[in-house]
Amino acid sequence: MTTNDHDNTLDRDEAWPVDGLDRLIASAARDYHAPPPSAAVPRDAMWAAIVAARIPAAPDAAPAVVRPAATTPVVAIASRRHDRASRRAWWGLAAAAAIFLATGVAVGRWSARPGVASGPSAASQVATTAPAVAPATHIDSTITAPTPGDRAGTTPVALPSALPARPAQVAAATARRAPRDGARRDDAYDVALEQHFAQAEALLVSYRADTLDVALDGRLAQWARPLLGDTRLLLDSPAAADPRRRRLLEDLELVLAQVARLAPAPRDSAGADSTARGDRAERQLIDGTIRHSQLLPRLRTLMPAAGSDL
Amino acid sequence: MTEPNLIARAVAGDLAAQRALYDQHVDRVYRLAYRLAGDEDLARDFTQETFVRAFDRLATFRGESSLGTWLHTIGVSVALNGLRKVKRWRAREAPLDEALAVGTTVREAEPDLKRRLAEAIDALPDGYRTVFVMHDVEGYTHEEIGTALGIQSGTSKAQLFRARAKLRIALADFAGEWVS
Repeated sequence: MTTNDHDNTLDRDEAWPVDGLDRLIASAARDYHAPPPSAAVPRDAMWAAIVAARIPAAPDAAPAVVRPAATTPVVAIASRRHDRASRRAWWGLAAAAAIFLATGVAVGRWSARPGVASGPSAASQVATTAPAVAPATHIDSTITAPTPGDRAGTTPVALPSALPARPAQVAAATARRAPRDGARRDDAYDVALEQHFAQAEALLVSYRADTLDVALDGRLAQWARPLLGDTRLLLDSPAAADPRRRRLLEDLELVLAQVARLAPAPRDSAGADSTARGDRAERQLIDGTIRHSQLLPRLRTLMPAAGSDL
Repeated sequence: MTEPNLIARAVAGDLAAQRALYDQHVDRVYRLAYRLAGDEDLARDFTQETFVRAFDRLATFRGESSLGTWLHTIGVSVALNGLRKVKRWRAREAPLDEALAVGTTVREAEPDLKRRLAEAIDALPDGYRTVFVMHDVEGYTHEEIGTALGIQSGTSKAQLFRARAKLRIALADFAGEWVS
């Protein structure tokens, strides 16, 4: 405000009201929140409340003789303060609880973010929901079980003599890891995925070693079916959140579906030639897919070296 | 007994002296609280709180201003702080009358001057409203207002001027009526 403004203000203050409207305002303002007449002021009631409020501060003070009038109940300020304090304490507790809950929710959301497994049972779900495999009694007992470390294409044909134990392996591996690192549930998917890739690699190596042995084709198809089921389950799980893994699983699904269609040849001689021709065409298709998609190198790349310790 | 003696005895814990001081000033403190609050219960609460604080701090009263001015300083502070809290509560809670009025059309007569003025004063900023009420309604001097509010008396005058100007604008439609 400038000096002139200030002077004007002073002048106006002294001169107010300057016109009829000012007089009107000045006169009406007297009724603004008009207090009761002096006689109606609850002096005694207020005094009693004041003394009551100050008793804790002055315990030796003489008690107030004046009591609040019956018609004018007064809420003691001390009790109000006590109420306020207890209300604050409750608010504090509520705020602490809210912070605790919010932290819990945040941790939960963080651990359930995309790319992280959504439940501890994921691996066991993969293991337990995998299609049932044929009992080991139907499989050549002389053939060794595939292992993740068995990657050489020249190894003896690995057939699923140990297939029934596959879910148990995954579950056991998960059980070994999960308690150690319960918060990181994605480990379960990693374990399941590594196991799955190892099985798939073993199957593909066995397939390449197979030279149109009809009996072996049947066993390969039987072996491929549960792996195909597992592949589809993994495709629908957070394990496939990684684009590289997803593409690999999709290619693997295609090849496994083709291998699963390698049915055993019928024993009648009439259709033997045509079936053999069909199998050959089917095999060429599978070989082309494996080569074209570079399935084996990609599988081996994505399988960590430590995968063999599972 | 003089006021300084009463104060000394009140500081020493003499309840009779405290009551005597209370009786001397309670009416004016209550009136101001009532004017600012516009509500009997609030005015009573503010008055009680003012005296509780005043008796608690009476030992710190140096006598540089009158006890009445010192009490009004506390009273205005208590009332303004209390009203801020009340405003927050009221802002959170829709009054039942307003809630019931939703969806209904109420045809009212033209509000009269007093009601319009009360609304206009309520709508003033806290500082302007306090100065206007203390000066034009309760008759405090600018020096007293300045001391009570912790501002210069010139600031009090400026705020009063602006408060009046705002009220004139708010009630401008009554000007022609008055002239005619």
